[in-house]
Amino acid sequence: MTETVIKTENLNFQYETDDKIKPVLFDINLDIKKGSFVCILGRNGSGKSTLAKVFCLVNKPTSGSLELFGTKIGSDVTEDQEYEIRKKIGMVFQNPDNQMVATIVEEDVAFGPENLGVEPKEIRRRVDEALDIVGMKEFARHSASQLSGGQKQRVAIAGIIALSPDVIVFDESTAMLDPIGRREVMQTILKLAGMGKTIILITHHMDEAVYADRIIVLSKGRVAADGTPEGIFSREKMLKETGLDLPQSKKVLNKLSEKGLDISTEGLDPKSAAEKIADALRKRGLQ
Amino acid sequence: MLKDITLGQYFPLNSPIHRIDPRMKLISAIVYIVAIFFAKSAIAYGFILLTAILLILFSKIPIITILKSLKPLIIIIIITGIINIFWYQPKEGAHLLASFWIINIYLEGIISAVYMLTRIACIIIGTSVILTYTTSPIALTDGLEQMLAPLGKLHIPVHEFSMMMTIAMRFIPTIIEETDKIMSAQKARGSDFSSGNIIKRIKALVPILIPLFVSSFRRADELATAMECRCYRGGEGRTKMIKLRFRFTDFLWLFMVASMIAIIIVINIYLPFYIV
Repeated sequence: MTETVIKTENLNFQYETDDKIKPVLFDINLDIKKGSFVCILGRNGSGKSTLAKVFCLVNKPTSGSLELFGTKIGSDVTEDQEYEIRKKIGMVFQNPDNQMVATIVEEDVAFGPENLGVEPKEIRRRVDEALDIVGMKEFARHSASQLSGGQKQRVAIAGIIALSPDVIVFDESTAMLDPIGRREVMQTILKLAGMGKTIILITHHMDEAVYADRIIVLSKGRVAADGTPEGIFSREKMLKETGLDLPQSKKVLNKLSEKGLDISTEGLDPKSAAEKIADALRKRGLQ
Repeated sequence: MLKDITLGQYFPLNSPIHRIDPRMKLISAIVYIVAIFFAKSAIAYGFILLTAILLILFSKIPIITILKSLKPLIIIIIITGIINIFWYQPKEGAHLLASFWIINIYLEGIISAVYMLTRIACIIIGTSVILTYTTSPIALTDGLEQMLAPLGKLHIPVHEFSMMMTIAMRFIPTIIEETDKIMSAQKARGSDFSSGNIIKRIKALVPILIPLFVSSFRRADELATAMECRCYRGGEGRTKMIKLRFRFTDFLWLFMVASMIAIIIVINIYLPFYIV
């Protein structure tokens, strides 16, 4: 039985400003297990980023219960409790420029552990290790403003790794990047998932969702579906209703099978789809 | 155009000057400026110009970048020079070169203008080579923070101040880039920044400044959230990755800069050429 790191029961959230109350999340019931790779999919305005911010206590739930690492989070959560939670849940935001504090890459990565009051030698070790994981070691002394979007975002990820959290939440961290940057960041995320970190990936790219163990579809602030990528992407009616699409590789497979090619349409990620196509072609006698 | 502003930008190289302790650099930059103001004789001015050139060479920073950083200041430098020529108060034995209406131009006036220009150029080159180009902004603010730490006991928010400095410096290139983008966007919509009288031009800046302010506030908000998520709780209980320690070379460096004052005084006394 693996440990549950995040558990919500009938969780509601609303944004409150002086004259307006805007409810965003309704009756969210989830539990996320340690070491899992969960993707939260949804269109713009579905409340997926808001939910991510609830996990990091940037947003406090309006009603319902939230349990992080076995600690119940009520409206009376103290600053110390928040601090303890934030040590364990790191969050990477959308805009890499707006989450960097320092000019030099390694000094920015060091910001987190410095806040924790870690010994200088240990900070050095953590910074080197974090930069190594994201593949940015050679840029350690570079100025952050001269990096590309994907590189900046990898530095931001290193800044979170250096805090050594158990859970890392990616709040549309690839949305502002070009295709190359997106691929670099996705590879880093997969690497972290492989290292046993719990990953919560917020995205509206279907192609990124296929790598997860579990997909949670949000629509209008409610959980519309919850299951494995295979399960989710075979429910075409639900996908249409929630305004989602199929991943590109799945689309290609479907098209080929429609055209009469004898092919299994089960592969989701590009690599397995490519293998399926190769198999089908071989079956038809093409080498 | 905006990209040319290198003032306040760090060049990550590995030179003897880069390796000096930031606290020592702060002190030595002040000493350097003081030394410049000691110069009186033409040879002393030549000497400070030489030290400025030596600084550039030792820092390994390309001379072109330094000259480029002086470019935006050319107008200020020229105006100061002209003012110095015209406002020169002649002493006894001053050489009158030209005279028309109420303006008299003296040889000494021109010399003092040249001195002034040398002084300004050396101050800019000296401080930017010693401080901004060769010291990472974080090291600089760390240095400041550690130097001013005793003031924290008097409830002066030293850490907060240095954090603000760090963030401000971090966002200089970002905001310059953003300004460039907004300017292009407004140009594409037909706004004109480069013609008309001064009032018209200032008015044309409003559609740049407003989006810039709005986006800066949004950035500030996001950054604050990101910092909180990275466990930032103010200066208490924070450690530093890089602990500053003075080394022998740091003291040697300070000694060298301080000895400039002595050398300049000696030159002023024994080689008093063209003192105005």
